[in-house]
Amino acid sequence: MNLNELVNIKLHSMQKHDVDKIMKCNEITKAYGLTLTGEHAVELVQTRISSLSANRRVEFGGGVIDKIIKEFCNSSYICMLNYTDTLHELIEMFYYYKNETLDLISDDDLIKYMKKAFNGVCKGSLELLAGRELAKLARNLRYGYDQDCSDDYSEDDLENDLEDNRRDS
Amino acid sequence: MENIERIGTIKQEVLNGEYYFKSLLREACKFGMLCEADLERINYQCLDLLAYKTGKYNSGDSSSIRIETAESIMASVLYTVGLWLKTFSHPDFGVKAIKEINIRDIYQCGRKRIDTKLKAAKHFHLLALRNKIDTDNYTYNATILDGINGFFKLYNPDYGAQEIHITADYPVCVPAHDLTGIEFIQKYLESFYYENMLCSCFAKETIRYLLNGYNEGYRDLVFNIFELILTTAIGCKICGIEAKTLSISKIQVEYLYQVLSKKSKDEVCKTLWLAYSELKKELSLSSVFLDQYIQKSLEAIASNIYHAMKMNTLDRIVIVPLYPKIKSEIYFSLGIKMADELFRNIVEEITECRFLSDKISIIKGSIHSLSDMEDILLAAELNADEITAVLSLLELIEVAVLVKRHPLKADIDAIDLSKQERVLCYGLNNYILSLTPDDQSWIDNAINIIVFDKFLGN
Repeated sequence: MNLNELVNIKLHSMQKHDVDKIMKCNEITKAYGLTLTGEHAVELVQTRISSLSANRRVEFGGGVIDKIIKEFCNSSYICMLNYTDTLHELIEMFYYYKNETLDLISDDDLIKYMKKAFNGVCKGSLELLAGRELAKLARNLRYGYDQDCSDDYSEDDLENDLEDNRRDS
Repeated sequence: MENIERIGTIKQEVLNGEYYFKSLLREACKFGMLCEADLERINYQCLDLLAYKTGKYNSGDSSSIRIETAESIMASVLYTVGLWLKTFSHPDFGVKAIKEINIRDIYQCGRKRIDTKLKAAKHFHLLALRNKIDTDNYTYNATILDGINGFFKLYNPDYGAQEIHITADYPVCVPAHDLTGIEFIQKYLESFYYENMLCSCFAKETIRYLLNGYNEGYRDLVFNIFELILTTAIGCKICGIEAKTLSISKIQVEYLYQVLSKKSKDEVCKTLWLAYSELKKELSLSSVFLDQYIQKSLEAIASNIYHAMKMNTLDRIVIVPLYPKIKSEIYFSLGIKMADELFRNIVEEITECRFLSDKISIIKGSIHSLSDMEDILLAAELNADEITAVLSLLELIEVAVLVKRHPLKADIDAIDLSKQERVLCYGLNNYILSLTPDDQSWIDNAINIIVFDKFLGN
């Protein structure tokens, strides 16, 4: 039996424990009108297992689902209608970008960055978060730039630079 | 009754040295020493240990890890566990330990064993460096100096205990098959040390001549120096000559061929053993460990010799040393230059002369060293004919020195030369062509052996 199969067996055996952990988050999220059923929690654990497998990663311990729930529950872009779908996408996105960032960022920092971008420049758009902001973060980390460094050079930036040059001369 | 071995279920020979733990589990299952429940428990204990190691690897920053990294950490864990299980006198005791002791505890014991082995390997490296062969073989030097240091720099006993990192290109005579990680390096360095120990019985020059005899380009070849020396030394002993100088001749190699060609493999082995005991006496080899190492090497050497006899290639393994030819050299000093002021006056005087005879008489009277003559030839604006006339005043050796310093170059190479330098080169060439063939060949030979006297700054 290879390591992946062994870990998957262990993950499945710990499924009940993980589901309980997710259900416990309802105590916090209830205040924002967000709750998950047992069925939803099982689905989220399944998504985690399939994402890990798709991204060729293994996980020990409780994982990050509860952390993602606790971080995103107060977002104004999440309501009960899109709550579970958003969580599924965020979990997939998280493991994909753990690989893309070459594990150079910790779980907590990545979740915080995702939350900041989701509530900020992405204005609740998961497409923008995955396709632009996280891709930018991955590129910056790989090339050793600052996390928020951007290569978008707007006309305002150009004008500011010209103004600076004029002042210098 | 010397080797009493416990009769056990699992045979030591069938176990894999590289993946010892896995192979032990496989054999234990085969003989029913471990049941399904035992295997499941071991799997979970290994997984728990992996989870713990992964947490430490990520420093608690990340809960997940890439499969490749996890596999590598797992391989490191299994290797470390196997390292401790190897310490049992019989594999059956190892299986008993797996059943009774938690894998994490076995791992801790293995980890301590790695530390001990690491210390031992570093010690052997130090010893091997102390008795290193003074040779310019690239692979030998690169491995013992850079390669091994690189290993100690990169080796990570916590997460990559099974890694070797380096290629260890220099082949030792008794290779460490079936081993990996620190076990391999320790064994490799041990072999290196014993090989150096034997080689240090021979003079540096003796080894160099032998390696030259093997191949004049030995500096860039990948081969084992110890094996070559030991084989030739044993060849010397079979011929009844002193082995210390390794000075076996072609006739003696032919004699060896006659002695060994009619013998079976066992008889060849016996002859080698006898010759080795002679060699031991001559070189006063007293180390028991070196003796054991050489005995292991002799098995390979006996096989090599036997096959070389069959293929008629004995001269490729019993090497006739190649001694350097004595090369004659001519040390030449260009002499001391005159004062600048005086030199300028002479140049001025020569350039003002109308006739060649006047110029030559000034040169004859004022120039007393070849370095001044060379400067005059370059500075006095002489044409090619005048240069030829001046050169006729010189001895052949002096002309050879000037040719060595101003060789005639192809037009493309002469592009950097000044006009006067080019005129001098052509003048020298024309002058040589005007000489007799004997003189020309004498100059050709002299050019090759002229050495300028460095102490005079030439």
